[in-house]
Amino acid sequence: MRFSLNQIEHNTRKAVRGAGVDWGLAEEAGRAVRWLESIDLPSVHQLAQHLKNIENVEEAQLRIEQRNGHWCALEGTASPLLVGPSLADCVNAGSLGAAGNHEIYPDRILRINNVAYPLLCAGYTGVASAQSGRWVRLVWDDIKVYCCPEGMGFSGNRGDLEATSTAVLEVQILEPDELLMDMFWESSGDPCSVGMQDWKVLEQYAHRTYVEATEASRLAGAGAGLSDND
Amino acid sequence: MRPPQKVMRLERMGCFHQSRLSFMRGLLRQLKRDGWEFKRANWEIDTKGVGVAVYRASGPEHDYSLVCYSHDLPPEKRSDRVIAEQWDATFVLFDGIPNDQDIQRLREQVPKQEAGHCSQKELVLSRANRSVRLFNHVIERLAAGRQPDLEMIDQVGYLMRTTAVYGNGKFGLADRERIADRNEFGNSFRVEMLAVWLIRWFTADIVEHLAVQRDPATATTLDPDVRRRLGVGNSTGLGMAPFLVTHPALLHTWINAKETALLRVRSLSVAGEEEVAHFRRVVDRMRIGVGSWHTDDVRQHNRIVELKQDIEALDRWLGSCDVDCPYYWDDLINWSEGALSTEGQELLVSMVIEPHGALVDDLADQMLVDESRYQAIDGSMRIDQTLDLIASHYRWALDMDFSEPLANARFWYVSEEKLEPRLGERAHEAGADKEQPLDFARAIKRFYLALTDAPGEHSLARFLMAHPEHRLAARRIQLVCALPYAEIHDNLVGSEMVPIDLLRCKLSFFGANKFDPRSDRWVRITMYQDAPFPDEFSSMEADDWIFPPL
Repeated sequence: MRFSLNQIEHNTRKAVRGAGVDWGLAEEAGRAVRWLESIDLPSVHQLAQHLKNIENVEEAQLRIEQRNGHWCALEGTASPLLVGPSLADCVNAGSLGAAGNHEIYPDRILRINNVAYPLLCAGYTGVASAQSGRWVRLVWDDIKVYCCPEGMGFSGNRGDLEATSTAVLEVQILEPDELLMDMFWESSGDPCSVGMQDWKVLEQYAHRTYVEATEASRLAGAGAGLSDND
Repeated sequence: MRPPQKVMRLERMGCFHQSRLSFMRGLLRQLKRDGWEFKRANWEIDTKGVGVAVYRASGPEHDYSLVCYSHDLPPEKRSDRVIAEQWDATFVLFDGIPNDQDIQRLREQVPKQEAGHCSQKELVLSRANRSVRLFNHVIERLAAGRQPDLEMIDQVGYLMRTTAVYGNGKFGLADRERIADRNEFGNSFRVEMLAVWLIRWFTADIVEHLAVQRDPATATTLDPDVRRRLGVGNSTGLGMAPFLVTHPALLHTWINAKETALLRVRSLSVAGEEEVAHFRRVVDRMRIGVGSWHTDDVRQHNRIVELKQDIEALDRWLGSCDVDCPYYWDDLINWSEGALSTEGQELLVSMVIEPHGALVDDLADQMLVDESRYQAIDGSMRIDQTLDLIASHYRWALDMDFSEPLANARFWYVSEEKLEPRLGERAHEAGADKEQPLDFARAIKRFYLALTDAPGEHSLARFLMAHPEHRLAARRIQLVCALPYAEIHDNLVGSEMVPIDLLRCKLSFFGANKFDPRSDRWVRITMYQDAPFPDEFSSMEADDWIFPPL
């Protein structure tokens, strides 16, 4: 089924919050998924899978830290919902590296260990690239993904875009002339087709952010009368 | 410029009036400027008023069609509530000219409103109910060959009242980005305002049609002057309230445009003779407008009583002040701040801007902003810098004591039933664990207190990696530093917050008037009252209608 990008962003935001992640992170997830879906990359599907995986994980355990120069989760696999925003901060600041340190170190490759759904991380760097005008390369498995202000491209094994996790994700800011890619997706602004099963998963999580109505709340909460016959 | 500390108080925002920068007025000026043409392209409505009508708006580059589905709704089904499931009429603004298949597809979807699914060819979805008092009265009078009672028109103001006007990707509609580069929609809410203006045309046509059905031998049509007194109503509840909080960059852009217009006028060292004469006519016309502003709401009623006194005080000031004095307009505004009610001060702001179209109308075309420009966090900012920014921009929030129950009395939530924002009482209602993040005063204070424990030389990015729960507040602070009118300087979960003040502010920018609060969280308004209809637009002034004629 085809959904507007606005629907995709808002449903994502609510679903991420419904899965127990803070509102600020949920907003950013909404923008990242919207950006990926605008270039027809299956981020709603990946997000739906990821939310199921983190359903019973405390938010505090999802947090990331810097350890021995790498980023990693406090426990287990690093979530793109936490890695992505910190990556975006670095791209927007003009350098990539140890946001966990005193300074943000310029011009170095940042390594993140054991990351779930690395394509979702590219959604955040994609948004940050559009915001900052900077070019970013993400490398995992046998694929290199390039985010630039106009869209995204890759070189290598396309199947790895759908990786459910990677042992190491490497991220680096590039000069434009370093760009090499097989395919380039430009953000079209068009809605794309989303599988109904995935959409329903998002709606189920989103539903957790709603408050059940009572007759009293129907009257008090909205403040309107029931009849329009004035 | 008036400082945010003054302008961005909710009580003052709840006194805002339309101005010549309002979206309805900016739209009509643009349509006139660009030579738009309008026609009723199709009318297949039966004797009971059931069927489809299509209205077309044709501009230099694009056509748009309002497709109207008219229904025969039993009175007991009529509800102002957004949670209703049936309406007297449902509408969609179609991008282009719909073919028969489109009309058929839309016939299936549009009457269902939220329960249907639109496509990227549709831009706006809306519905409306008849005003029972006025709708039947007008039909009866016209059927008998007479014009409706003008006092009744003034009492109600509209034949039909929309209960929602959706755009920007809702329910599968086209995302705003699809049309943002079109000249006619390069401003806030232009496409929605176009749809509402065309809906108003339908409301007049349907009463004339039903009058003919009732008595073809004697029925007449609305006199053009009488017809023009009919606006289109709108009922707005809490669904609209969070918008100003969740679109801070847009809020800043709107307020900044209006305050810039006011500053330009106040900066005039000499008041033009023509502008002063125009202003006096506006005051006289506004006096009539205030006289026909009716509401049962005690708070607003009292404000209107004060407003009438304010206009008398203004008359006296105008009679006593020499128009040749330097900075006449600035003097007037300075005087008003000590002499008039807040409602009177804000009306005066709109009225002094009014005669200065040549000076300010360019601002009406700059009331849109790319919100994505302000969504990034500058993670390189140091903690001590962030603390300084909060202290200088959010002192009002830091001074609040959120340990007081009254400061946390309410919470915003989304109702499961209709997926609309609602306001709950924290002490008495369940659901606070699902609170929406609209409590920025409290969130910023929490952020501030958390930052005070971190080393000042650390980067914000480092702090946020360890404390991602503060990302919303961090982004907000950086945005407000760049856009000072972006934040409402009040506690939106406090016991004294009046939600309709949020609605009134937004609706004033739309260009609404005759605000009629039905409770503290629900307001009825009239749009386009006295404006030309599309079928007479080419022969009339586009922007001389907002104040009633003398």
